[in-house]
Amino acid sequence: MIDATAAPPPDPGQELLDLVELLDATERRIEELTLGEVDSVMARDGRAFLLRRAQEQVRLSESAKQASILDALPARIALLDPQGTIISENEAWREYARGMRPMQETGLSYIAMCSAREGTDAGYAKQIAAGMRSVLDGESPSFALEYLDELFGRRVWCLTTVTPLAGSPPSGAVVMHVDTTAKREAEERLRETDARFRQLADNIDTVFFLRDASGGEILYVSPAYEKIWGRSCESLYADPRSWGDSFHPEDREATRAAHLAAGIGGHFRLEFRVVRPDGSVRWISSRGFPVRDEGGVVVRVAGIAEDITERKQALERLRESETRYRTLTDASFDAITVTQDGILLEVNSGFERMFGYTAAEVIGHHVTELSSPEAVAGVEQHLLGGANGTYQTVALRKNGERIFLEVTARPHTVDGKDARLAALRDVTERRQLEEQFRQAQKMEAVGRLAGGVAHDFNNQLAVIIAYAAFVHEGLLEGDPQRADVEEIQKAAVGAAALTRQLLTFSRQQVVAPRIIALDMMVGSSVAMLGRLLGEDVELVVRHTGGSATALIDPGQFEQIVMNLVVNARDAMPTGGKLSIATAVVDLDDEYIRSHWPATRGRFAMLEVSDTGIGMDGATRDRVFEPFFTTKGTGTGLGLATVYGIVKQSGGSLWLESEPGKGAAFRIYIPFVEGVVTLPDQQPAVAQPLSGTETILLAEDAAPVRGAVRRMLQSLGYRVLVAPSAAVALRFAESQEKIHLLVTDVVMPEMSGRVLAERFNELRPGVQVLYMSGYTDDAIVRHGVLSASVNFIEKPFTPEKLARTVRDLLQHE
Amino acid sequence: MYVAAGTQNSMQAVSNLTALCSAHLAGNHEIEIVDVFKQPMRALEDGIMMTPTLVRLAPTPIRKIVGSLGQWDTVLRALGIESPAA
Repeated sequence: MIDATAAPPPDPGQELLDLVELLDATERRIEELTLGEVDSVMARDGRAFLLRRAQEQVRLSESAKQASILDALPARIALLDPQGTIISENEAWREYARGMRPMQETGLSYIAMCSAREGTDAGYAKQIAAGMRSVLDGESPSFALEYLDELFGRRVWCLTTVTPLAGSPPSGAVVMHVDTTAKREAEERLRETDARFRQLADNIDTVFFLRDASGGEILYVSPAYEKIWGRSCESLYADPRSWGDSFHPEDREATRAAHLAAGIGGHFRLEFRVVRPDGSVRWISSRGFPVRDEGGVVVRVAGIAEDITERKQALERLRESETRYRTLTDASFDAITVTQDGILLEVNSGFERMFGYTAAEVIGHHVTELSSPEAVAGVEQHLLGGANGTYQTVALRKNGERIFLEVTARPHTVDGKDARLAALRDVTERRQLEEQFRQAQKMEAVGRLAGGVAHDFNNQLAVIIAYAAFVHEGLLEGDPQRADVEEIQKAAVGAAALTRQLLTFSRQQVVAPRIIALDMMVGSSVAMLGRLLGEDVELVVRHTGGSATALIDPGQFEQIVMNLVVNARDAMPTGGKLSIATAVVDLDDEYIRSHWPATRGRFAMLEVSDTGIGMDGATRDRVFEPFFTTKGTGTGLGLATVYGIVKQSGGSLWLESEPGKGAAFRIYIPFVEGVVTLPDQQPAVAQPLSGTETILLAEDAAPVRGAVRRMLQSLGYRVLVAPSAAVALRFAESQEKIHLLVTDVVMPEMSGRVLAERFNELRPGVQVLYMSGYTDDAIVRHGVLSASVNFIEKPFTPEKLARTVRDLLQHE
Repeated sequence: MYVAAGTQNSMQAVSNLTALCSAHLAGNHEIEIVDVFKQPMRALEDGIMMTPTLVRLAPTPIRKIVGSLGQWDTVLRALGIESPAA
């Protein structure tokens, strides 16, 4: 504090004036000394004094700097004093103000100007005036208003702020107008984009999601989430972990790992199940990918997820249906194929079983490659003829075996192109059965034919044989004609044998079965068989399984063995080994399934096998057929006879043979437990064949009647001749003594059987001898003669008749 | 060069020196500007009495030139640099 009134100290006011004068003089002198070239001078202690002129320069320089900063700003900025008067403004403000009336410039009250504003923006102007007043009065810490302004005919967004200067109340305020149009428009565009995205997201069934890289925060999930997951979006935002918790336990680990991998830059595409709060399960297909910032760092994971449950279920149903189809087709014994243009696309396991090929071996091949050569053309024709149809064809298995097929084809579609679905049934066995049936029918027909002629034929032979015998007897020993007659007799006997064979395979031969042991029968024939075979054929006989007893006509069995052995011998022109075996065997279901027409049970078996030339399939098929022969001199009746005998005995036979591998015939006759009956021994002592008894002869065929009468009369018998049953009965009614009735079986009006019955009513106890070569009559049942019936088979020799008649009369 | 920042003579001196050195000592000089208000002790140590003052540190002997350096001939002479015209 300067006390101006104090004395004697110098007057402070006067001293101040003196000092200013000195200061001024000092400045001027320094300027003179330094020629105005200097800005500052230094005291001895280093303190620098800025000269007055330089001080002014520095001050101007500073304010110019600040003004240039403010002028560089795009905002319009003005400084107001506490009354609201403009003190200073920047270049932007000034430029703007130049276009305004009144001009908003220094010295004018901006508050007053705004308050007085009229027009479209009067409302904003008044709000701003009130804001400025409020800030300048210290009532508000600041003021801001953003509004849409009309500026030189252009709509612009304007943000006005009022910021107080320091002081309380403020020493002034800064008013700033900023054009925010660009920012506003950018925001608007963003809002529109956002709205479009939301429209999309809200209306689509696919879930969009956006989360941070760690998965700790869900940034966005679209509303479809609620529909698919059955949970609210809000619950997910609140608890982001519920995303992972919703995964089905079986899928959780893999799905979480994929989501985590996306957080460090991996893409994922996976299917998983989620469990809804109500426990239902949905299938989700989801894809996710990382979102990176400019530096390449993964900041977010974006992705989509959609509900594929229905698709999955449809696929599952399709798969099930395919599995079912596959199971069905594989379970089928039929082969099933799918072909396109004849090329195999698919086959089932039935096909593999049927053909012996694996699916892989045939797929891609043409079906005709499987056809038997002769069937190729037919198959091709069917392929051309359309997909629908049923036809029979012949194919080859992998092992070369021929199989007969019945093919049923239906149209099918594969990949939109026409295809064929075909079921192939192996009818080989059926064909064989049909073949066998045809064979049986043929035999039956031949037999019936043979049987039909046998009676008359045998009668003729009987006459030939009888008269040949008469002629023979009439010729003297040494007469050259005896040899001729013997030839006639031989031929007649041969013809009779042929007739017998015909009747045999047609099962119309009269047989007298007995229980015999096959092994014993074979054993007793070995010596005779050995003579039949050449020295280069080795004969091996083997018996196993005990005594092979069966009920069969011994003569017929001998015939079987003989025929088979002769055939075996003929099959080995250069020698070999011939084996005859007998055994008792049990045929089970498994055996009979593959050996039609075998039947189940215990059988006495005879096997004749050779190491000869063997047979091919075609020969095997026909070998039992009558008149079929591969030998130039054969009658074709040998094996047919075997077949007939076996059938008649209730047995079956089986043949195995391959070309070059020999042949084996196995014959199965039903096994019969029993004691072997030995054949009646012929009396060892010679018996006189003649007699004097009276014999009634009933025979409708005159030549036979004459021949038989002569045979009997030549033996000394008295013969009553009846050309019919009626005449024979009249003899029976008469007083004639009759010791024996010899009658034909087949006669018109009345058969021999009926005659015998009537005869025995009239003459009880008198023996009856039937003559027949034919079984289709009443004296035999199914061709089997009962033990009580006396029978002589036509044709017969005089000697045979003599012995039979003598036996009957002797037994009387 | 010792200056008082923001003053006219100092700015002119800096401007003149820069132009002069570019013309006569292209690429062969080094200039340091010292604001005496920011570094008063350096000015004291170097015996500076006023600004702007140019001190030629090299080559020796040290020479001091005061002023805005408007007269290039005088300055060149004082600095011992031959005028290209001479």
